[in-house]
Amino acid sequence: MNNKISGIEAFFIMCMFSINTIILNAPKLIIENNQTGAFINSIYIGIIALIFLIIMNKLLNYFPNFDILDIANFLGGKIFKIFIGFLFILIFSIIICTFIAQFIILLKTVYFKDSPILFILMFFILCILFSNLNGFISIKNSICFYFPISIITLSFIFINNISNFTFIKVTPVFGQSFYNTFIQGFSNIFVFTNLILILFLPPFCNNSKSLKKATIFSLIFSCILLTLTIGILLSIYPFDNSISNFNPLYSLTRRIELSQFIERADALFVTIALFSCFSYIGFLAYLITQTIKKIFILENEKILIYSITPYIIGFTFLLINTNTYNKSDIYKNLFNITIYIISPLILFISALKKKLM
Amino acid sequence: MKKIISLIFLLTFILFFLTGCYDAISLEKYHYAIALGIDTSDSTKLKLIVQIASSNNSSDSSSSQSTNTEIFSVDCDSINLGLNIINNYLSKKINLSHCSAIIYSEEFAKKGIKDTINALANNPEIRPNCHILISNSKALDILENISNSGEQFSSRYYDFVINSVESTGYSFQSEFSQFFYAINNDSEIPIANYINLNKEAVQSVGIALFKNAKFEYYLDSLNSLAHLIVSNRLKETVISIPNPIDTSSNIDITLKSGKSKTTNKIKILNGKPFISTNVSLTGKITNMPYFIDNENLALIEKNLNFYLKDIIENYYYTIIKKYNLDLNNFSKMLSSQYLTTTSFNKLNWDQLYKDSFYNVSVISKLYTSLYTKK
Repeated sequence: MNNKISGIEAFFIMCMFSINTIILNAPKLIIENNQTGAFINSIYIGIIALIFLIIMNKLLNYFPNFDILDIANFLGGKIFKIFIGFLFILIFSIIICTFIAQFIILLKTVYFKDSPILFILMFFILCILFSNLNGFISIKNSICFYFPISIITLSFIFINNISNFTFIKVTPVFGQSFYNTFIQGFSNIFVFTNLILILFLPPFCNNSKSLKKATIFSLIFSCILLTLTIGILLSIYPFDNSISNFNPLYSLTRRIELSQFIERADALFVTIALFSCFSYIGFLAYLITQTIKKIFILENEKILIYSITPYIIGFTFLLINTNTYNKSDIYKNLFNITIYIISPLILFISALKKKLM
Repeated sequence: MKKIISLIFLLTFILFFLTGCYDAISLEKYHYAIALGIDTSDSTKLKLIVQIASSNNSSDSSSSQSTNTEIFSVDCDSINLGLNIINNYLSKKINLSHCSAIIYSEEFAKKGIKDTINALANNPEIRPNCHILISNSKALDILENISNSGEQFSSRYYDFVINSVESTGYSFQSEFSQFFYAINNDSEIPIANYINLNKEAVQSVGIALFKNAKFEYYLDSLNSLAHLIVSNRLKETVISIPNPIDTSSNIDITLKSGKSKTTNKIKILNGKPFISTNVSLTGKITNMPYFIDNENLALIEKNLNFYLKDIIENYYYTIIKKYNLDLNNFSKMLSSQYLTTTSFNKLNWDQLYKDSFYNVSVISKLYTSLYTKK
């Protein structure tokens, strides 16, 4: 079976990552940290992430069709590869479980008030199971199918709320202080979760040049989307105090009124967001199975999904029961250290080693 | 074959569980609240009044869709507790998804309404466009009188109070979502529609202003009109000014926002905030029985400009000097001239605001049905 993806498909997959991060709480987290400085901060972290991406792409040139695990193997042997592999499994698990937990809470609060959490969770788990049992092609195709739909939905939300955008609401442009916006706000770079994919997509891609183009365009796209979302949210909701735990994009959709007949466009938004979420978590689970496969050199990774799903159920329940699904600090630091410090270091030292060999 | 079986299994699963059959509660199992009223209580923290659409259609009703209402009230310590108590003696559960208005009595609003607003905000059934009304009398009286207003559709009971604002300009449409964010935000002044019960008739009479989440002042209809003009929210209103041509009569003018919007500017001049407001409006003379030439039209325009300038200056005096409320969010406007909030905070806006001075200029363009354009 051909597991390869084209440049445009890589672009769709990476953008789907950012769309899902934005649909959930990324803009709200940035606004809470930086208030009106969030607008500038999103552009700032976008530029920093782009610089990182270009550096990483240059370093990855030394290892065509290698993912981070292959490079770790090259640098430090099997033990180092296992260590790095587990680190990424942990990150993927946190992303997937936090995402599912947040979505479940939204669904339970708004629509399934009387349903048990396990019942709602089972839809996510079944989706992960079915998509992974059907293989990479079905996951990739579902992402490519739902990406344009998600974009249309988001554009629809923006168009309906763009009239509320006033520049005065996003001022003072540098927020609380320069330190808060540029130094403390630097940690917000974790919202670009799609950067993780440049370390894992090379073996899946036919053409490394088109993959690099796709990564750069997807990051620019994510940055524009994030900045736009933050601008509109800041214009509508004063975020001086952290007051509402409601999903901000969901709140935006509740403001949309399409004549007297469709007063609740939010249901449409949740449906589309749910489908894009299904394709996203399916791909994340696939990355976990791929990483385990590479660590332990397995032949068939499909069967692994049966053992991963109970682990996802348990971890999601843990996050919900301990009410930690909204606490991004630990995840933020882990992600930033792994992606922006450990990974470039591995790439840099491996490139040096390869040059010296 | 394996794929077909798994597909059938999946579709069957979706059929039973995703279509809402699993835990669906059908419409007839709910009582739909049209409005909530919140009053003070002697024994508890509040009195919750729920007005619900009754399913018993009156026999003499002219339409099959017309509905009656029932009003239930309970003394309780919180809104959720009150709803629970009412649910306890009703056959069906109360659902707030069709609640069009939340009415607070002035007496209760003066004690602070933040807790009740936050409690309602946590209920996803409440629509963001549900209206907040502050009444000069008991909320129960409003609910009882509004159901006697002659409106057949209970869902439209509050339409005439809320929508009349668009054509009169005497108040403000206060939506729940905006009110909720304003009441929880230090830099915003929460405002709501102020209604009056007068001889069994409910009407909007101004804007209720909150300070520290407590109802403190209200703007009368002229000040409300000035607020709508200054904040570019005026849709339409009718005013009557003395006729400069014939001093014994008045001229009725229908006012609308002009092509260019009202602009507000603020800067610090001699250590004090200087507010400059340029108003642009268009108007139509509606009761002039004779032809008006250019000269007279200019005279009427001049009178109108003077009249509007006067009410806007009076409005500024009221909110700045008397109430010390930054209703137009001038602090936000001024803060846009600063790079960071820290540098803006050094200004000590709260102390500075009451020393503000202002300049208002009004440019209006008049049309008449007899003389089409100046």
